[in-house]
Amino acid sequence: MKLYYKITLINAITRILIVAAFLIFTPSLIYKTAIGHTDARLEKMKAQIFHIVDTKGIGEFLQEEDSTFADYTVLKEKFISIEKVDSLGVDTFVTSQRDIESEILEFRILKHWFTYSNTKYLLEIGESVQYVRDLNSILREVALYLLIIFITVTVVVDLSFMQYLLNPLRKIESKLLATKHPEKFDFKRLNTTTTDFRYLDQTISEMMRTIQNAFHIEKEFIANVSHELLTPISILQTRLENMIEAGTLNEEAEHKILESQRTLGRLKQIIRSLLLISQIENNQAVKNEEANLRELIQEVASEIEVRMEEKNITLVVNANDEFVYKPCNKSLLFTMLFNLVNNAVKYNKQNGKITITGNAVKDEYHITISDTGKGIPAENIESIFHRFRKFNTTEESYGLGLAMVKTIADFHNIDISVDSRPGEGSTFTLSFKA
Amino acid sequence: MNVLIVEDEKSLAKEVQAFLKKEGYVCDIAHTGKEASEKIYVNPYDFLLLDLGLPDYEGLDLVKEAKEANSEASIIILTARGSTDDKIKGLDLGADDYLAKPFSLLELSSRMQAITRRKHGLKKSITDVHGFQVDLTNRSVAFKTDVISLTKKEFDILQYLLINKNRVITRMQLTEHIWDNALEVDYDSNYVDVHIKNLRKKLGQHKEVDWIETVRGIGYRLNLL
Repeated sequence: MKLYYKITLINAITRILIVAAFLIFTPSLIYKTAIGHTDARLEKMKAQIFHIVDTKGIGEFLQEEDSTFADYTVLKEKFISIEKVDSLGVDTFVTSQRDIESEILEFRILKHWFTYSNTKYLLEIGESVQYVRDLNSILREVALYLLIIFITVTVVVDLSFMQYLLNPLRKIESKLLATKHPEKFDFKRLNTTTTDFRYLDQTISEMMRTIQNAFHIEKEFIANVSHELLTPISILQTRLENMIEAGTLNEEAEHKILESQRTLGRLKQIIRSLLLISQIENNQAVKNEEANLRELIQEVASEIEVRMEEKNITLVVNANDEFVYKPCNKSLLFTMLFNLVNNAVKYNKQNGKITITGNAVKDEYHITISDTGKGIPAENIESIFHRFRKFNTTEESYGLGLAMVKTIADFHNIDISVDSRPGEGSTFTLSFKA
Repeated sequence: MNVLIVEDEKSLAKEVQAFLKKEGYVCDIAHTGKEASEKIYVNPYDFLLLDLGLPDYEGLDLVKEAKEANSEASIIILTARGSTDDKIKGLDLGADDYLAKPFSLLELSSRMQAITRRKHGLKKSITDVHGFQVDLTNRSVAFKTDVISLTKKEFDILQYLLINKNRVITRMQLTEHIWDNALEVDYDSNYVDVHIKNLRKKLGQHKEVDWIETVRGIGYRLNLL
């Protein structure tokens, strides 16, 4: 879940909880407050009544001695009643339902017992609290609507605000997602006032720069070393050739020198290959040609055909779909395919078979190269594209062929995958995207 | 023929000079770009062997200068930089060929011969090789009246062996030659063996080809007096 959804969700939940608590507790709070106020009013009314009784006598209320007095206001929200009782009680407030002219209403009633001229009376002053109930239910309804609106509004505001606030984080995220290789990292400064994000952005940029530097140093090192090695090899090679040309050597010495030349040639090939790989990795290779992949397959096949006789290998080429791939470096693509097919020959068995197919699949073009060779054990598949990794030491190869294949494929954004069964053969698949 | 070798690596220049002298060229050496630039303006050369990686000079500028001052000279660029970009630029500026270091002296001399042949035409373009007529200009081989059809690589091998006749040519040298110095290709020398085998087969239908000799474990030699 995205961070800003989480934050918004937490905010919303807290608000809902607060609102729920408010909705639950407010009615009783309002009720209690209202009752408190009513009680105070009732006490005041009691005082007024006693003021009347004190100045004008109880007769003001009671005409006859044992009669009961009861009086309602017109709207029945208040009543006073005085009646004779046999015993006294302590003043109490009660809330109870009263049936007044066949209407049941809730009243808050002050009960007060008193003695007047040796007669015991009970005074009841009541005030309807029905309105509190009504008010509460109205209030609850209104509050509910208001709060729903409030929550919706705040969630929307939260979401947009969070989105705005966390926008830099999203930018960092997309920047990292777009960086398939540290070389491709975009160092543009993030524009934000949030120091945390600025710090994060700077730290990532610094790390990327460190990684890039390391890559750069490594590549430069390989390029420089290779380059520096080529000159002494040149001198050695020409010197050896001149020694043979002189014609003064005996046959054995000449043989030795020719063998040394071969060794030198191996060295030369390794260095050239490394140099080429590092050139491609340093983006020094040009990529502005277009290649018809079907034709390229044919070219490679015809180039390599002569090798088939050696092990009596059958070559099947099955490429009919036309596909023009651009931009590319044609000779590098040739090298890539050649190396793969060459391996298929090299590691094939006697009377084996090599199948090359080329198919347009949707907007991609797939080239597969299958052999009936010894295959690659599963544990080695991961590392076959690594430099100088070779599992078979008897063949004349320097372990750079597949590394170069991979480098060229990466340079062209071609996907390469291997499927291999030991003892049955391997299939290399190249996916060219249009 | 006069050759100017422009190469800052002294021992390499010396080796190239020694070889070309034996081949009958008159050689001059310039170790710096400045020296080369002066020599170009003073002496007429047939060949300029130009190392691009000079410490004091932009090698490609030297190509331009040579084209102005010594327009007759054929230019072969020799470089360890090995970037295709340089190659294209050099050839665009008018260089005749391009050879990546380390190169074989035999390859160098065969390139020089090819340029000469292209520019001036060889006195005798058809060579008789034990009864086979090899036409280096039109790239064809015939036995008496029968034209023998060879693949490009087969002819390249025959031609290279012929240019360097009576010399042992290693499989590596042959491989480099037929792959046009494309050492990036993960080749192995078996290719050469197969091509030679096919070449022998094709020629052998007309006459025995014992004159292409296999030097065990090393390479081949074309024997021709």
